[in-house]
Amino acid sequence: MIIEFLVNAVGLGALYALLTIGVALLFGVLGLMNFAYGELILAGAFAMYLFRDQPWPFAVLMAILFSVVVAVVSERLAFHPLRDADPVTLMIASFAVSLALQSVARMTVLPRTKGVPPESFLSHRIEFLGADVSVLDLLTLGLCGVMLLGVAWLMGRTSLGIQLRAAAEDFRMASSLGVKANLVIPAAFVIVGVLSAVGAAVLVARQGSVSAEMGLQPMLIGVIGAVLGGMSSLKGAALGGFLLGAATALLESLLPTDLIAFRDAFLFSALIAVLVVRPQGLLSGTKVRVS
Amino acid sequence: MLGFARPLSGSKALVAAAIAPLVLATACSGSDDSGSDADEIVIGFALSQSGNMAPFDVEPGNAALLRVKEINDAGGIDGKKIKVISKDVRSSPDTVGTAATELISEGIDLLVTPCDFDLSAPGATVAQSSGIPAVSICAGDPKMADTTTLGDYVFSANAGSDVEGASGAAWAFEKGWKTAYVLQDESIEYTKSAGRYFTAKFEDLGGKIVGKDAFPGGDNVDINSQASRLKGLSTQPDFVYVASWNPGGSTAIRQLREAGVTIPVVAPAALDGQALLDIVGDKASDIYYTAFACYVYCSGADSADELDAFVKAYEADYGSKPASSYALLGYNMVTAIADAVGDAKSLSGSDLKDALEGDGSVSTPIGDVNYFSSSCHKIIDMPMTVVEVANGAMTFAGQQRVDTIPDLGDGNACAS
Repeated sequence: MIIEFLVNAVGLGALYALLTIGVALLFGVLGLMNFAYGELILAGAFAMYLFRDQPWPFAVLMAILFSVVVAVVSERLAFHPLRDADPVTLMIASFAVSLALQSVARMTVLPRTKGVPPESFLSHRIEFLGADVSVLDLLTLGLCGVMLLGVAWLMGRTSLGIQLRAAAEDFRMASSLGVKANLVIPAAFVIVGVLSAVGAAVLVARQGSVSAEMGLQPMLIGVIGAVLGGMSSLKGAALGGFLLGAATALLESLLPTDLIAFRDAFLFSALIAVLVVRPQGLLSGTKVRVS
Repeated sequence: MLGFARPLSGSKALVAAAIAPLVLATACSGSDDSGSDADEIVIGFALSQSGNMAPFDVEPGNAALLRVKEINDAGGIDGKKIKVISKDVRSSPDTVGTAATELISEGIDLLVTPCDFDLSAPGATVAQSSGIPAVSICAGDPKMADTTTLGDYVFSANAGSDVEGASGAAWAFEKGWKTAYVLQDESIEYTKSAGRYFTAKFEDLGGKIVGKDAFPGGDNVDINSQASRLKGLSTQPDFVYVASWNPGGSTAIRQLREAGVTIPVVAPAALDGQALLDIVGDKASDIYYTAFACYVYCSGADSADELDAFVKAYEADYGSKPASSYALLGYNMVTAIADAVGDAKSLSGSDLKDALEGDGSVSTPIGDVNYFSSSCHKIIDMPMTVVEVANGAMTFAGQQRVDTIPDLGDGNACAS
């Protein structure tokens, strides 16, 4: 029972952490609070629906392709012309991108909710450390964990990662030292595209449905997790997302039936309490980048 | 502007009152040669053709227009043709009120409002203050049916979540299942009342609710904890009632099955449609829900011929088959309205309202449906179609009627 709960809680935490760093990465590099993040997830989820009859790994690859294309195109068309605009303008632009993509999806391919049948290998149940858990739970845990480690490696050990971190620290200084904005910014969007596609694949496998509005909740989770952990630190954002997911699973298990409807009220009260004590987030550095 | 409008509508009412006897007189004198110049009833359709409610309004609206065409082609209602004026309300409550006002100024005799209580309310209120009957095409909330919430000129052409919950309970009990577990979706009024009325009816019949659990519902459903609590019970109940709606409800059922819960699942009508089949997948079985009809994606209905005829006619006019059984509610609504118009003394608002309240039994492709009464302004007695989902197919599992809805003391005018 404990192991089952842990696999579930840690899995949900890892998924939320994945969603969160997608939001935090763009905020760090660009100062962009990207509300169109949910529509990147939608693009990936739509690919999962479109290729539901193909092998699952192929569908995931297509989801990555779809999300990355939407991410890069939205950067090119909407955010590139606004590169020197202030963060509020960028934020409003991201709202516009989000609404536009959602409306296009609703008018063309997703006027109503579509179902994606479960993959039989994912719904298998296996023995894990003496507990009975589903492959999907383990896969959520594994896939999100690997992605998080991948991002950590990319940011810490590669030249691109160093440039990204430099740009996040001080964009103008970095570019005068030779960091190319035209490389770093699209690269950040590609990474976010990949992250959101993996998030979408896991979400679709858990929910089994794809609809035009489905990106809203994961996007909010990403934003809230990032605020909780500290917007300017990727580690903090990942921690914030993880705690949010784990706390959600914990509340679902512990709350009495009559109070489960108010799960989010409990969750956000706790969040407010944390922010009262640490307004800059859990792991934020000394410097809070407001604008 | 509003201050100006009120006295005007008051004087309008006076004029109307003064004219009414004249109209009655002409109607009486004209009754000898049935079918003279005023022989047309005008219905205003204030439905959503766009926006997030469009999936619920478009198909029932199309089906209603189909029925209007059929009635007109057959010579109308005692010679009276039905004329429809449509306005797109774009899924916005603000637009519904404006559209209703415009339609009423164009001289409609009856207003049709969207498939949802919240969207219908602004339009129904306008109709109420003008003394024109407003019929929601398929809103399921029992509040739509009670004459004190929005007014006594407001109707809904759906049975409602109370009938759905009670029918699910009656069907399961007759199947011999005596112990139930309720998994309650807490997201909307519809699911809450479906769960409440299921519980009350099942206990009334002598069944036992052995446990209850809840989940927040919405788009992002994760019921792992709830599923393991259910699985951990020492004796499994005979079935679990999942009081939810699409797509979250289908996801919950999928997650129950993936968590290894194998007992039968019973659910209300809002899970109806192809999406349920796709979400639960080919492997899932023993899932039952109370729908309005079994057609297109579901096979084996008792009245398959009538339903097929409806689907064929629908496809011929609109190029595709209906995607859920809500479409049939729009079709049936026009039959019910036409029945009432046939019985009405005149086309005045109050006579139409009285005729709607005296509608009684109306013949439809799913059998006889009991529409409105003076206290209960929604469908009172409707045969719910129980659909079984198993191995990637939906099949007809029976029809279930309930004579009475348990009184829960929540002001439901249709309970007894």
